[in-house]
Amino acid sequence: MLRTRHSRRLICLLSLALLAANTGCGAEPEADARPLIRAGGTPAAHFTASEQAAGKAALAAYSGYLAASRVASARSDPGHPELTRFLADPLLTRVRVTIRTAKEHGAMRTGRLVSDPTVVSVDLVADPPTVEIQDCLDATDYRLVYAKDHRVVPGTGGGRYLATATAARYPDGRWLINGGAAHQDQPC
Amino acid sequence: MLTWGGAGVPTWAGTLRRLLLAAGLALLLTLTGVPAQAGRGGGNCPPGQNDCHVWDDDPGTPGGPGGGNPGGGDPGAAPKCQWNGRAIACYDEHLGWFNNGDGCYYKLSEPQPEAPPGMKWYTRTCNGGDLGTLTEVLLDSPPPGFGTPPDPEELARRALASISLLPPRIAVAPRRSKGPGLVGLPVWMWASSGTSYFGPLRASASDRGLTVRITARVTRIVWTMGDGTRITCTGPGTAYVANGPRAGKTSPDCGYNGGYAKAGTYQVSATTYWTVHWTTGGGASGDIAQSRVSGTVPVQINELQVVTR
Repeated sequence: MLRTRHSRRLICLLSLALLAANTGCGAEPEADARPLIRAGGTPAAHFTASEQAAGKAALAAYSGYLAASRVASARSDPGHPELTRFLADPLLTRVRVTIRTAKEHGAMRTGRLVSDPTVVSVDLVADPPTVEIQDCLDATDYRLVYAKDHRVVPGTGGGRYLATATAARYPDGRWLINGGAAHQDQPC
Repeated sequence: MLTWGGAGVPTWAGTLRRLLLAAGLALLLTLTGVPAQAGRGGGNCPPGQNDCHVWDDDPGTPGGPGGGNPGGGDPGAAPKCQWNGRAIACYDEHLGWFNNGDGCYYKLSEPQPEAPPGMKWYTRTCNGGDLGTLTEVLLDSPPPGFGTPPDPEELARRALASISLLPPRIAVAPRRSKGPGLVGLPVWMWASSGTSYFGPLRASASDRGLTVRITARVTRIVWTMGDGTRITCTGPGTAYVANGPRAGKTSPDCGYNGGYAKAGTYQVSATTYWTVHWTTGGGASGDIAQSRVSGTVPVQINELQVVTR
């Protein structure tokens, strides 16, 4: 009986370890932030001065990205120059193509997007240095509509959901958002 | 005896439990493996671009990757870039150049992250432009096709994809609904006229400063009479009028003048052969052949003596 319990515990631990390894190797950069998000708290307190500066620059890039994405989406302009000020590949390409696809279907985005981002981790040792950001994006009033009559595209809807983003430092010293995902399956 | 959790359970029951746990673990791993892969396949929407997959079930639009020339083309004029047997743009404004070898688009990553000497970062989109496969790769030389200037013929095909060359709508006399025809008497064939059926149709397409203009027109229509005879006409033909001046005579421009040799019911169809001529401002030009096939129209032919009885 005892032995059985032990072995069960061992298997559970093993499965957890394997689970972590599995999600770790199959995950995209943004998914790495998930365990940290669940940990919650205010990690900013543990950051060094240079980490805090990096976090601040990353958050500035993130809010710049959201603003540029809003303008480009409202104008149905995938080549909007503001996008390259805050975004880097591969997210830059993804955002451009997403805006183009909406445009090809006669749609645009309109309304207010409320963002409340926090830095969940800073890694200045990594090459390139990175900052992970999480956000509870409120897209309740931010809708995908048809450009000609502003009718909401069927099957779409706003709401508050988790968003994650990765900022990286580029050779010229700029912090740019190069990865990110809207987790519409995770309300917040 | 086989009891779950009993103190005196023989070791093979414990083994069974371990096996079950292991199976559960395997299932767990399989299940958790799926979202990661599904995430790669479909790809999450970027923050602030929620509901980006709402269009996924819609067919691709012409012009972008996924667009291409319509079917019915001359097999000799195969498009330069293909994915899964369909034509695909060799260059996309946002995805870059297509590599026929691996089905991926490549562009230089914007901006370039730090890279070892002689190497560059590329943003790669595979499966013929599936955003779920978007990734960064470090290469020491550009992939095949990378940096190719705009190809006027591909642009001509893109322009061609923006217009519709309709298949001919055909009619014949004698018409079965109005009574059978007779062996050896002239048959008239004609098709709906109009630019959608015979041209000229014009369109243009531009890419990176190069504009190609196309003019598409039918150069001939070939009638398959159903008895092995093919008749080539250069225009839509003339509609038969039962009380017109040429009633009972041969068609002035498109007919099977000798008529059918034997009684029977024949299925008649026609194919229009289009020439799509393209030109660039720089003086380059070329032709793309296209064809469109009509539906079939039945013709009933009786022997002469049937009528004379």
